[in-house]
Formats: sequence, structure tokens, C-alpha cells
Amino acid sequence: MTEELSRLMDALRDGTIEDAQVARLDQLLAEHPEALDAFVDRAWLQSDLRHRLGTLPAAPSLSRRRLWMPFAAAAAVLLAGLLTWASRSEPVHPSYEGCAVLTRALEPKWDAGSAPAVGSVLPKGRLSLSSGSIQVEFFSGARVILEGPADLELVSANEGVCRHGKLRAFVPPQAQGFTVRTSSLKLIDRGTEFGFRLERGGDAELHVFQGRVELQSAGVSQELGVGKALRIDAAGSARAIPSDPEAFLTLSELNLRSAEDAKDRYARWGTASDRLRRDPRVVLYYSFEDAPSWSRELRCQRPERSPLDGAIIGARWAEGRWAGKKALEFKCPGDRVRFQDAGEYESLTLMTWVRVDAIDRPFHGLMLTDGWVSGSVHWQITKKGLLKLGIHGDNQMFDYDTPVLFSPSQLGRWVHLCTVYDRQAREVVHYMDGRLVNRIPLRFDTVLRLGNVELGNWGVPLHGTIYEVRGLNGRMDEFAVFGKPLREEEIRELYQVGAPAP
Amino acid sequence: MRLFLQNQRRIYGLILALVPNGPDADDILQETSAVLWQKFDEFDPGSNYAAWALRIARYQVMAYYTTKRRTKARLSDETLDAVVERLASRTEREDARSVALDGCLADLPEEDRRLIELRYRGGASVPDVARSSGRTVEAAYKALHRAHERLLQCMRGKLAPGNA
Repeated sequence: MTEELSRLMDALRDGTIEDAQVARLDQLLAEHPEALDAFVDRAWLQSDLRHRLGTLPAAPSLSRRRLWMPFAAAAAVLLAGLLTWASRSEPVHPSYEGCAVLTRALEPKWDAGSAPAVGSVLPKGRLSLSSGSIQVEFFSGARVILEGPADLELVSANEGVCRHGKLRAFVPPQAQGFTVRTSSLKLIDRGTEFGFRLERGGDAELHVFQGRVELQSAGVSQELGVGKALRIDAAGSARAIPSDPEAFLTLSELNLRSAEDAKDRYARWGTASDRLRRDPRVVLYYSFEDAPSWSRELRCQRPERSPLDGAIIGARWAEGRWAGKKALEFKCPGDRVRFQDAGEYESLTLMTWVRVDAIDRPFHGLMLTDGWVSGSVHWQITKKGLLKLGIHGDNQMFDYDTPVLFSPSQLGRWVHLCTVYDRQAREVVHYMDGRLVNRIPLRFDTVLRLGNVELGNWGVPLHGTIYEVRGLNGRMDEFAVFGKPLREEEIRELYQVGAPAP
Repeated sequence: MRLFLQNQRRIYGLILALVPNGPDADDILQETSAVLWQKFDEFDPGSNYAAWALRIARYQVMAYYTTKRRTKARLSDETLDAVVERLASRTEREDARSVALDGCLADLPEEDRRLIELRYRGGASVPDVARSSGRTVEAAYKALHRAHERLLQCMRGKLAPGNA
């Protein structure tokens, strides 16, 4: 009977089984417990054999057709993971806290706490500058230039509390009612441009350059018109003084000066970038410079042509961290850059400057090796906004994740990401903007192999031509792979010399 | 993930025994992995993972039967249930099976090994195996059966309590 069963199973497997044979198989299994056992034995053995004999050597060539088993299975697990992300109950409407956006900063020295980056959303709280100037755009539309030393607390999208310092406010009609308070004064804008200075001793000056401002002091309210200025002492008594527009930094001055600052930074980065491309630890370095805008090739650090030169697919040239700096923009699901590297690595450091425009896909590829096999490296951002380094060892895989790094208010600005896989120290370390985010001990030991690699996507060739949307939505303007673990202070320096703005 | 990897071959075994070889089978394997992963939240950690996963694999196979209207290879629901139950009740560990299989493949007579290689490494159908090995189709069925039986017998020996 087992021979008959064996034959039926073979026929089913080959797709040559006939209806009468199916009925016979069904009958055998229903009526003979030992046939059921034999069926189960054979089923399991078939799967074992397919795993064993269909399996690839450790470094597979991806062009082979029958390598599907470990590869497709693992890919399926990944795909499944991706479905999980999509289906986990996440808020349908992502939210963030904010009052304003920091749009410019010129040589700012921040007093305490964290220094917000240019381009980031400013939540409620104090902006405390010991020197330098910043431009804050309230969500209401009011623009404020704050000159340090200064302390301005954002309390809402249209209101701030000044403890000391100098500010110039531009308030369009749609932001009327913009309010600046101090411990004793309240300034309510009535459609205007004004300057306000509060000294540490408590003396204040208000200059109205356009429109009108309502000033409330000790329960008394008065309006001040164009060209007027008042000096109010700590006790609350006010006297008229000549208005002095020159005393307050204007938008155009700040703009001009920060453009010059950006040019200096770009030049400084250029020098550092030339140094970096000659670093002996560099496996691959893309500065995204020196390419004509029609080029579909991303040149690596080597002067001669090499498989490390990236082939650009879909992605378009765009502006990078500074005016004039080149970047590649990844938007469409097919956009990617492909390169090839034959090395094997004990340790790797991955570094990039990237502008993530949206977290709107299950995975946002930064750098992924083709396939998912032993030695594979998958560096990407998840839908939850985590930075993830997925490592595949023989039959083992692990994701080294950060906590959430990309909240909605972090999107749309240039960030420096760096991840170190250190086999000697047996750990993975993630960095963002030069700061250490977390350290995770290695789960298992494996060397890393790159092979065919994609930036900004994962084009794993599964069956046919259906791909998951796993591309980056954003821009990239610098990318490096080092064959060694970089130290924390080196990563901080890389960030500092590449920071787009203070 | 760990549970899945520990039961992967058993789960795939069910599918491979119920669906003709080919891209469809590969797709079902992938879909099943995806669903297992996706529904992992619904798995009660105190219960039998293999039983849970095999039931899901069975639904995937049934869904395939329905969408493809490939009723030709379709076993009855009662039989499917019985197979799932029997397969889930097995307690061998996959890593132990894997070691046993390596040993048994090494011990397999050369001719049997060649047939197994043709069938599983090359993915040959039984008529193909017949052609490649200079047999009639009838003889190829018999020879494949003997090769599988040798392997199974050897594995039973290696996996029997006391030999583990």
C-alpha cells in the first residue's frame, strides 16, 4: 500500500494525477491510519529534501533559478514582516507637536538643552540663545528674528514669551493678534512689523516700523503707530524715543548672511569630502558631486571605472544640503542606484546624509544587498520611523533597531545617519546627527557580504516582475561604506563638517 | 520567528504534498509565511505552534484550490483535517531531522541518491527521472519509492528515542 501511496503523491506533485487517483488517495488516507502516517512521513521528507538539496552554497549567485528555497522563504518572511507593519494598529492620522519652524540660524550658540536643527518643527518651549541669530516662522504666519543673547518661549502657534533679548517680528494680516508677553508687558500685533528689546534688568524698548501694536502694561492699554518707539523701564513707566529700524536685524540681512554661511559650510565640507575619499578604510564613497546633470552614473571614490560606480535608475538629480550641492531624489517606486562589491567584511560602517520626505511605505531602503541570504545587509527605515540594520547569518537573522527616529516633525530635513557593525566589539551602534542613539550586542557572528547592492530601494528579484514598494521617499547627497568600525568621535566629526546649517 | 523557523519544513511539507510542484507551490509557501507572520499576534503562546501554523497553511491551500478551481488535486476537507492533525502531533525536532537526513543521504546507495538528486535538486518529474535514469516510468515510480523508503527507514532509526 505504501508503494501505491508513494505513486499517488508523486503524481500529485507532478500535476499528472487524475480525478480517480485523487479519490483513491482520499480513500486511503481516510480508511487507513498507517497510510496517514506514511503520507505525513513522506510529506515532511519531501520538504526536508527540497530544503537540503535545493539549498545554495553560502555565497550564492543570484542568477541561478533554483535557489528559491532559503531565499524566497526568507523573502517571504520579510514580506510578511512588512505586512505586519502595515496591519499593526497605527494611528490613522499621525500627529506631532509644534508651534513654529526654525528656518534659519546664523552662528547660534544655544544655552542649554538640545539645539534644534534648521528645518525642524519647534514644539512648545524655550529657545535660549547665548549668541547668534535665528529665524522662527510661527504656524500662524508671524516671522520672528531673534538675536542672541535672547530667551523666547513658544507657547502657541501665535504667541511667545520673551524673558530677554532682541527680536524683530513680521506679522502678515493672517497672523494678526500675534502676541509677545514678558513678565510685565503684553504686545499684541495689529498687522505690523515691529522691533522689541528686553534687557536683563527689565527695561524694554518697542519700535513700530509698520502698522500698529497694542501695548498692555500694568492694566493700561495703548496703541503705538508707525515710526513710533517707546522705552519702558522695569517699573512700567514709558517714554517716547526715536524709532531705530537699523538696530534690529532684518529678514534680508539674515538671509544674505546665512547664504554666505551656507557657502562657507559647503566649501568646508568639500575639503573634508576630498579627504574622506582617500581614507584607506573607505570601501565605497559617493560625494554625489562632479556629475553632469544628464549623467546616469554615480561615480565612486576611485579615479578609474569600477563596479562600485552606481547605475542610477529612475532617481533624478536635485539640490542637496546646500545651494549648488547635488543630490539624488528618490520618489517613484522604481527609483534606485545599483552597485556591486565583491568584498567580505568583518565590520562595516554605513554612513549617509539623507532627507527623508515621508514615512509612507512599510520600508524605506537606504542600502540593501540583493536577496536575503547569509551575509546580507539590509539598512532601512521602517514605517514606524525606526532605523533598522537587518543581518542574515546562516539560518539566522536579526534586526538591530533604533527607537523611533523619524517622527513626523523630523521629516523633510537633512539628517546624518551612521550605523556600525563591529564584529570585534560584538555590537551594532546607531548614530543620528553625530549622536549615539543605541548600542545592541551582536546576536550571532557572521561576516558580511555586499555583492549586488541597491541604494534607496530593494529590488529583490522574486518571481516575475511584481515588487513591493520599498523605496526611499526623499533625497540622498552623500553615502559611504567603510570596511572598519568608525569611532564615535569620528562619526561626530563627519556630522559636524557636513551639517547643512548650524 | 524562531517558532516559524523551527517548524518551517513541516509547514512547507504539508503544502508541497497538497499542491503540484511549480510556481504556484512557491507562491503558496510565501503567502503562508506572510500570513503566519502577520497573524502571529493571534497565536496563543501556550498552545501548539505547529498545529496553529499547519491549520493556517491548510487554509492557504484551500484558498488556492478555490481561486484556481484546481479541484483536480483536491482532497476532502476531512482528509485534510486528519493530515494536519497527524502532522501536528509529531514531536521530532527539525534540527534533529536535518542532522539525521544528512547522515542518511550519505549512507544512501549511489543509485538511490542519484534519483533523489534528480527529483529534488533538479526538480525532475517522474517521467523525466525515468528518461534520465534509463527506466520505464513504471520502474521510475518503484525506484523512487524504494529510495524514499530507505531514507525514511534510516531516519526513523536515527530519530528513535535513545539514538537522539
